[in-house]
Amino acid sequence: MITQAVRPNSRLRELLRDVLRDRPSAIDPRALARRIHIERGDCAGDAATRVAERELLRVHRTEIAYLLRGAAGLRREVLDPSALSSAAWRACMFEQLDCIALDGLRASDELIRTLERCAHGAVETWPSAVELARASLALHDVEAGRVALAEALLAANWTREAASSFASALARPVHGANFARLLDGLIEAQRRLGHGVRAQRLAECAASFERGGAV
Amino acid sequence: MVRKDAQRNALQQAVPAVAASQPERAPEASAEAVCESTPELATLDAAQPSDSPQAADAAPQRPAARASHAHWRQILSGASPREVLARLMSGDPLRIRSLVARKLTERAYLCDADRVFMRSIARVSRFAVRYRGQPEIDDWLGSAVDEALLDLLRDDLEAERAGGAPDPGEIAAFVDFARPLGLEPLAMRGVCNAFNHLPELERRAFHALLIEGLTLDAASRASGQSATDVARAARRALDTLLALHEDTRR
Repeated sequence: MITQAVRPNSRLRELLRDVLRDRPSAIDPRALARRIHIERGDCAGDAATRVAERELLRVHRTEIAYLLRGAAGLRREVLDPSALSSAAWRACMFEQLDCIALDGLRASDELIRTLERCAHGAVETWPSAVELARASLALHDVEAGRVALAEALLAANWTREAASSFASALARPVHGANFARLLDGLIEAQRRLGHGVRAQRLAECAASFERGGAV
Repeated sequence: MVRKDAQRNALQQAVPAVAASQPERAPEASAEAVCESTPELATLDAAQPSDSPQAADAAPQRPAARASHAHWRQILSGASPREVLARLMSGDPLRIRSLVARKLTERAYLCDADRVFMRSIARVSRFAVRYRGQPEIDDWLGSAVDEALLDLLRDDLEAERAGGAPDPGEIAAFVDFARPLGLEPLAMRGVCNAFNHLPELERRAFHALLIEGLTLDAASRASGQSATDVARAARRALDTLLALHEDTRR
């Protein structure tokens, strides 16, 4: 329905199906949500208050997911791992842990442990970029999160999982910049897996996209 | 449907014939309009030119607004986000509701103002802990409303793409929009999403001519664009929405 998003054409869809047949999506959202979650504490009040508190919980969730995505980037040294940026990230993690306590939110043990490790330790002691990106996606399933996870998987040489994550993300309409990024990642994963012909066909789709043609 | 046809007719009368012969906008032209709404966001689609008519209109109101915000420290400081939220819910002391209304008009988005207000006060409550008085409170609140708007636009887009059953509370927001057009609320969500991702010029032109009901001359004066450009932009927006509507019915 969204005309501005890039959608795969039938040729690309077929290639994506082939990739997903090799290995279905690496993410089981329900299993992930059991491990990583945050819920509201007790909420008394009228309907408007409950709506406002639900919105506040969403803002908390979105912020934590954003921090975890950024942390995954820092962990992979994609973002500048300078002392300043990692210190700023740790401060934000501290702040978020404070907010969770102050607001009486119920967060899963795994999420709290992850945030604490990021708040207290040096970047190299944080959970892996894959774990951070997965946790981010569990809290807030957005395009940026799907891109972050697929790229983290590829960087960690979990190539089959990366390929299926790239393919799953591409199977939905995505913004142009992410489309090119995801397609490049998928091509690289296919090359590493020895699927040269498929990588070549995907590269033709990427070239068509760059020329502004149908994808 | 009757109203939609009436609107289409009204616009077609207003739009010079030349508008219909213009090339279509590239489909991906506004693909980046909605990005992550968190601090990494550097390209607010909604950036408001400071010399726009709306900004000029708003300027004289600012000293009064500032005076009303003199007590912001009492509202935002020394409390948990939940407590700040309760303060903001009680009588809207920072007048965020009127700020939301102004932003929606300025940016020409089709969004439920209540939802934007709720998300805005949630953001203000969460990030109050970081606020130390810089930038000025009006600017800081304005940014919070902008971020809340983009949050909601992204949420709606993701929800539509996911194709799952919508949250009843959220879909209720589209009932009022949908009724006059004879659309189902779910279809209306798609139309609103598509509208909100049009280029700002098209949204503003459509809003001015079809929602505010301005004449072409008045819309041209208000936007600083030529009447022809306004008409073309509104026409492109209308064509996009009508095509989407047809698609939905099929």
